[in-house]
This record gives sequence, C-alpha cells and structure tokens, in this order.
Amino acid sequence: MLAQLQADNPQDVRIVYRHFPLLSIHDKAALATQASEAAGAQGKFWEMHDLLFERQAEWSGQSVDEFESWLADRAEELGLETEQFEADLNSEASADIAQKGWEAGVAANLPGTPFLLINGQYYGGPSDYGSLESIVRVIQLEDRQFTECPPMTIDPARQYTATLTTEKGDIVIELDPQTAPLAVNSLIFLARNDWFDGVTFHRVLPGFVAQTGDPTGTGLGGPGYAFDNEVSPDLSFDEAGVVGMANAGAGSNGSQFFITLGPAPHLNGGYTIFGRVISGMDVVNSLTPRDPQQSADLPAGDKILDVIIEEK
Amino acid sequence: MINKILFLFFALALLLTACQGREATGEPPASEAAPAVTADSFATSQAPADQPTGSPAAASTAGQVKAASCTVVSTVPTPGPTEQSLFPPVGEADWVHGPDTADVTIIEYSDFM
Repeated sequence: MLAQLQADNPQDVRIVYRHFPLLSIHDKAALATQASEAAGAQGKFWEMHDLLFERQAEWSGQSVDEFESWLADRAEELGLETEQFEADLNSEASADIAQKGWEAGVAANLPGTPFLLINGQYYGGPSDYGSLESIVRVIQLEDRQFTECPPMTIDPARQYTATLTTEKGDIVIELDPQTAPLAVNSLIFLARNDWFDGVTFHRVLPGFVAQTGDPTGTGLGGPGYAFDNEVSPDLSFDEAGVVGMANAGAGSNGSQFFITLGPAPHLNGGYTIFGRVISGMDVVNSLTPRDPQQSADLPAGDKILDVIIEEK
Repeated sequence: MINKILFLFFALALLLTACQGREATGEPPASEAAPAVTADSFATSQAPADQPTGSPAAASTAGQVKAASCTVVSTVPTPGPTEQSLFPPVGEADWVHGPDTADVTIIEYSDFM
C-alpha cells in the first residue's frame, strides 16, 4: 500500500519503516523483525519486508522453529547469502533492534500497529490507498496555495464572463459581480493565475450538480484563503445552469464551485450564486458522472483546460 | 493487525472521516450532497458570517468588504512552537524509501504480523 503510493509518487513521497514488533502478543514478531534486518544487512530489507507481509498467511500459524526454517528458504529465494543471513538472523544486534523497537513503541504509547505519522503528525484516518493519495495531493497543493486574499480588482458596474474550456467543449458563464463581488473577484483572480487549468470536474451528480475548482481533484483542496457567503434573496437554485460557490459552511468559500444540473432549492440560502451558464449547457450535461464520496473506483472525470475571463 | 484508537486527529484525517460520516447517513444524494469543500480547517478558521444576505454594501464598498470577509487559511495545521514530537526525526537507523526532498514523509510503525 505505502510502497505503491511511493512508487506512484517517486519524487513526492518518502516512506519510513520503523519496527514496533508486538513482543507481548506475537510469538514470531521478534524473529520477523530480525529477518528483515538480516535481509537488510545484505541490501534487501524492502524485499523481505514485502515478502513477510504478502505471505503472512503461510507463516503466521507456524511455530517459531518452523518459521525459522521457512525464513531460510525465503532468504535463498531472495538470493541472499544464506549462512550470513542465518548468522544475522540470530545475532545479538538483530535481537536488540527488535527489543528496542518494542520498548520505544511502548514508551511512546503507540496504540497499536500500523501507526502512521504523516509529516510528523499522527494520522488515524482511513488507510486505504485512495485516502492516503488524497492526503498527498492536498499536501502537494500547499505549494500552489495563496498566502493572501486576492486583491479586489473587479468593477461591479462592468460585465464579466468566464469561458471554461473543457475536454468536452466550452462552457460560458455570465458572472454576477453585483450580487457576489467576492466570489466573482476570486474566480477571476484564480482564472488569471491559471488555478483551474487541468482541474477535473471531480463531483458530477446527474440531476444535481457538477462541481470543480479543486486542483487535487479530491474535494478537499482550496486556494489558501476563504471568504464569506454572498446570498441574495432575489436569486435561487431554481433551474439547471446556476453557478454557485461550494462551501463547508458559511464563510468557507474558496476555489470550488458548481453548476446545477437541475433545480436544487434545498441549496437556497446556504450557497453563493455568482453566475449563470449562458452557453454550453450541453457540455455541462455531458460531463462524466462521478461521486468521490460513494465510490473508490472512479472514472477519470473531465478536465478544465483553461478559464478565460472577458470584461466589458 | 491491531488498528484501534483514534486520538489527536491530523486535520486531514478529520476531513476524510467527516466525509465518510456524511456518507454513512444514507440520505439521498441530492439532499446529503450539498456541494461542500470538505475542508474542516476552512470552517474553523473563519469568523462567523455576518452578512448572510450579501448586503448592498458588499457591492458598493467592495474594497472594505474584502478586508472583513476573506481570511487566509491553511489546509494543514502547523504544530504550535511548544509542541514537541514524541517521535524522533528520520535518521540513520530508519529504513527509508524515497528522496529526502519529498513533500510528504509517511513514517509507519509496524509489526510484520
């Protein structure tokens, strides 16, 4: 799992393995640790590490003696110098590593295994590949996040359109700077900083909304700033093509926005409406459906290639 | 594997679990799935929204409104200066796979069983 994440992100992910053999519960925990160290002494720690996990079913029910002979066979399989392996397997140094690992884990009050630290912080969330990958994407996004709110550059008296060039065609949105100056100003700021280029419509629920604006494609990412809702009683999510800001509560608007695919009156009052699709609704309707909250195995989704702002 | 106890949540863990919690409510997608930037830290770092109705002031005095209505947020919490890690930094004794320059370091404490 972690190895796969590292392999898929070779420059951005570093994994570190620390032994916490549960000596009090598992009779072969020490020997397994020692085997990985003995393989490591011959440059094959990770190979032995992977093998122990992948073939756990074979050895977990064995006696300690059976396991030791099983390990000798595996060492040979991995092309290790077997005599050296067996000497290292039972060396005082290897046993010491297992013992120290156990003691250190107990001293740190580790609740169990596996125990993950991501950039120094305890991570107790789901440890499936998709969840961990989302975290990597969100951390990577930090490099692109802004450290200041966008300067107010729009003139609410003027007219603005945003053309979303997507893989499926163009979507033209008429923006509403009168009602939603913060949202419109932010969208224009982000578009001019190429924030949306390559960003997927990550959440497309037919009949409800098509949502985008998060470069991580997970729904967790934002621009590094957040601004207030701008809700007008004159506007409502009464039909397809209404463009609103996504939020996680009032005052948490960032870069994610959505286009309605039908009436969504339950959104009224909770979400800023800042525009309306004036052309390309067929493109919106053709976006690949996907729901990141319901499925781990999602189709790729359609990308925004560029957002072009026009002002008159 | 013993995989228990959730304490001291890394904010991102919260985000993900919050997301799943919503899923678990089993409400129909159209009502449960209000468009959310499931970013908890955004919400917590915000002042309460005091302009729920997008007042005319927002349009006419945009500059002032901006200062009051937008704040910088961080997705990932920064540990306070007094917090000390219980865990040693990555060192010689560790088995490491991946470059030192990686943005993301995942340290796993594990047993092979």
